[in-house]
Amino acid sequence: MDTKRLLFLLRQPPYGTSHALEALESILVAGVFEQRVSVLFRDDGVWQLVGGQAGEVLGTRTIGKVVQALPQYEIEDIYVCATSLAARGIALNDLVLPAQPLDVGAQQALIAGQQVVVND
Amino acid sequence: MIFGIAVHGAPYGSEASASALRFATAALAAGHTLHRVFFYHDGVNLANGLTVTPRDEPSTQADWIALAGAHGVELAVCIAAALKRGLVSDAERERYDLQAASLHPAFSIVGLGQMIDAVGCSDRFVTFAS
Repeated sequence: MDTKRLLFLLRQPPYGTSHALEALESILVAGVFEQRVSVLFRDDGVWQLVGGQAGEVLGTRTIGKVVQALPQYEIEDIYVCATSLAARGIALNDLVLPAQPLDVGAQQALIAGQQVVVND
Repeated sequence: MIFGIAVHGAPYGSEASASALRFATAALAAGHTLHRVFFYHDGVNLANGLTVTPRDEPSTQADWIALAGAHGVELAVCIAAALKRGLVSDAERERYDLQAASLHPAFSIVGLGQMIDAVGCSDRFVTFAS
């Protein structure tokens, strides 16, 4: 299997559907398989990054804790859409880990530099 | 060119699997190779062998099976996503002591690693999101 530059684009909110959890589980597996993984949170996906989540209230996993596990799988290229954060009134120090904020132009460059983009 | 496809949307409630089928048909007709179709999220429900399609509607599942059979394409279903949605093969039915198996035999149950393998083995990997 080739090692590829692989970007996961996370656009779904953390709760309400199983989408975010299953997407993050596939990202962790990509880390185990030693792909060069990047993750970009944008649109409602930025809510996955916000601290102070309590999934147990909903009887589900806490998505913020799964996000925090990414660096343990050697996934350290974690980006967030600055526009999506601003539109929701979320500050960088509200986040569970230090994601790098990107404007739209920088996101275009990030996507253009990948071999594979998984649009979740 | 070698394509890999991921289907994330539900087979009946979303257009994802039908759009992916049209894409796969066009890619194969143009002489490309399709390595594997990986069903994830609600997309795994396409592998349910206990569904009935009304006679006046096309069966996306039957069309996928026909396409895969004609071109030797693997139809792979994520085991973690499948078990949670009641999609079980005979092996899982026995292992978990369930009342019935539901997986259509044209589909294979695989781990998430097979999605990453498909990414690695394909020149292009196309996701059909929900």
